[in-house]
Amino acid sequence: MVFPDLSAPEAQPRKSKNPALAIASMSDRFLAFILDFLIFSPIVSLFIASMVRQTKTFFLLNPTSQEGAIAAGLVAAMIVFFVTLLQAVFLYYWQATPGQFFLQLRVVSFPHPQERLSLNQCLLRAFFWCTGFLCLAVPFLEVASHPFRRAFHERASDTMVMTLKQQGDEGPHPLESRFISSWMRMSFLFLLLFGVLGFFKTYHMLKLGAFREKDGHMLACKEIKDPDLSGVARVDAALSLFLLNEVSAECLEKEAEASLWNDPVNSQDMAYLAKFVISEGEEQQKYFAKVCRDSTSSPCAIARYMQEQGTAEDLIQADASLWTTQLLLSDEKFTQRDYMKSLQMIEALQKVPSLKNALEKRYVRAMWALNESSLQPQGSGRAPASVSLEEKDSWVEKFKERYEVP
Amino acid sequence: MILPCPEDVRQYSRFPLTITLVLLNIFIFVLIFNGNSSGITTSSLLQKDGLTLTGRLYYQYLQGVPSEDLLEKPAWVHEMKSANTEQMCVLGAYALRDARFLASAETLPYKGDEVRISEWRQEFSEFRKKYQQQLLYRFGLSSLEKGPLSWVTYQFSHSNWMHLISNLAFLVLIGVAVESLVGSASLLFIYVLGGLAGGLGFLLSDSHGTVPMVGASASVSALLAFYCIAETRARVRFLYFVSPMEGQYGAIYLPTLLIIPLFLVVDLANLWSTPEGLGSGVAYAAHIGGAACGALLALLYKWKGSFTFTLRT
Repeated sequence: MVFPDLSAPEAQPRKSKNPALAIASMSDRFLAFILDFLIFSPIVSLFIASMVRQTKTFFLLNPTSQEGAIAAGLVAAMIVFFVTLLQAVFLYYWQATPGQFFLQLRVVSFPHPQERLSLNQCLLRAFFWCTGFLCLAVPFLEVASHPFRRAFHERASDTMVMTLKQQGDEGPHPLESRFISSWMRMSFLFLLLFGVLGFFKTYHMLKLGAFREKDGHMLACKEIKDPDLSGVARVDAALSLFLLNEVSAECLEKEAEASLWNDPVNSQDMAYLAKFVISEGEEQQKYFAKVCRDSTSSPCAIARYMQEQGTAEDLIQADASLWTTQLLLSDEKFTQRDYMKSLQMIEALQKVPSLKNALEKRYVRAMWALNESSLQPQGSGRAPASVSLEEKDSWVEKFKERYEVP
Repeated sequence: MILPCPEDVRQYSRFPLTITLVLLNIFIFVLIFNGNSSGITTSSLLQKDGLTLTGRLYYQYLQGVPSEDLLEKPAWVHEMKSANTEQMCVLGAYALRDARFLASAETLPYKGDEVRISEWRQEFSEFRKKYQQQLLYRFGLSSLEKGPLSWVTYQFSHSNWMHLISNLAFLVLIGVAVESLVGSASLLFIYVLGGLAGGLGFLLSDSHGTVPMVGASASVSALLAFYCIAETRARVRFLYFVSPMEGQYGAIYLPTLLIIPLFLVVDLANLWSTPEGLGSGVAYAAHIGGAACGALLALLYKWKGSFTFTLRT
């Protein structure tokens, strides 16, 4: 394994003071950059370690945390600060960063030669070097295209990298220089394009509320908007809304979980009932057993009714003040073609703000069925005897008034 | 990629112990660990729902923990909210690393969804059984399993091929340099003592952890630290590789002390930047423990001029 040692000292290092004759080669500069990265990155990481840990903790507690975003910004600022400081110190005292030092490169003042770099030159060079990375390192392409291999940060600070090795670089061929320059212009154009697109997309998302504070990971389901609902009433509302197909099974599960894990005393049976409704197979039987630990409880009566062999008798045993019971009873009445009773129950349930809109369809359906039943010829057996024409007319009038039907 | 390579490894007959250690690590891995999967990673306890449930139960467990024990927990654990499922999932991952919780979790009374709690108890019991049966647990070092043999066996155990290759690459490169400098017996002394110190560092940083530590990395860190302090020659050979293009790979002579920022400071920075209690999969504390031991031995070596004195004591 015989490799050429790129850092091997020359027998007679170049003494010339004219840097134009000893331009540093690109490969030496690239290798120096790699070495600098390997040396500086652990040191900078060490300085910012506690801040990074804090930032990670913020994101751990909340992945969309504003604190985390601000802390990440501060970490980036600290990285720029420490890299600038380290580079400036090395340039000021040794005229080279550690990587450049090992590869026999030196940073000199150019085109106004000085004995050593001034502090301003060192700071400017280091700072603009860092900002080059903000443009995705495109400005560094100038190292390949500039006749003296001077990138923006070097021209801005009146500096140049030279080599102490015998063989200096001759600079790029004019064709190569033109090619890289046009490539760089294209890169800037693409950067601009992506920047503008990114700007408008971000602005659009901002207007749509994509960056609004979210608490979607909290247990309770956000689809149930009434903030006053709590305990049994909240699970009851969630279960009713689920039966009305207004909320998802996931939402009901969240409510049940919230109830079971945060408030296990007040609404445990209703939460188990909710779990029973959304689960299947063996698990459903386990939840049924939990709901019916007290076989006389209302949730148990509802669960029995919901089972395949359930009858209306089971439902009658349940607490009639529960919205779920009322909803199931109204459905039962509808099935029995007692549309008037069903409508009465729906109307009573619509007094609950969180259920009002969700019951509109049921209301219209029952109203429609009531109207249809009255159009059936007498004695067909479809309309229940209890429906009187006056009552039906009063419901129709109420319906027309409510929906502004002429 | 840049690696210190002070000696020519092709002259392997000069470094019998390094080669023996490498072969021993390979044999142990091939004969014992390779292809031996415990199936623990597929446990439902490690899926998102399982971790969230574990987090909730751990949250209840923490309510009953004495305040002095609670203060030992990382600060972020105190900020967890039971209503936040994402946070409970993270807490669940932490809970499975808490040896004290694991010891009593099955029998603790919990409030909540009793159906899921009962399922969780069964899954947890199976998980513990599988966990304790896995070879890495038996050969590795953790606060649960720290028998006298574990302190040595963990140094020769590796979890997968990548782990083995990366550790052995460093062992070969730096082992030959140390063996050439101080001889075979001293190399073994530094390797084993560095491993023991690494184990101590790991247990001090994770005194109630359950995740076992395996690998020769603590011993290798000890060798790295020993070499860069004992051998402060101006420059030694490092191999670098950027790309296969000409001039992008080769050798470069750099000061031995460069090993400190390249390998040892990185471990310290990584250790400090990782939130407490949530390991990153690398035992940085063990690396630091090994490195500290290696540095101390190097100082002793430089002070005495040779290592024979240390060996006799």
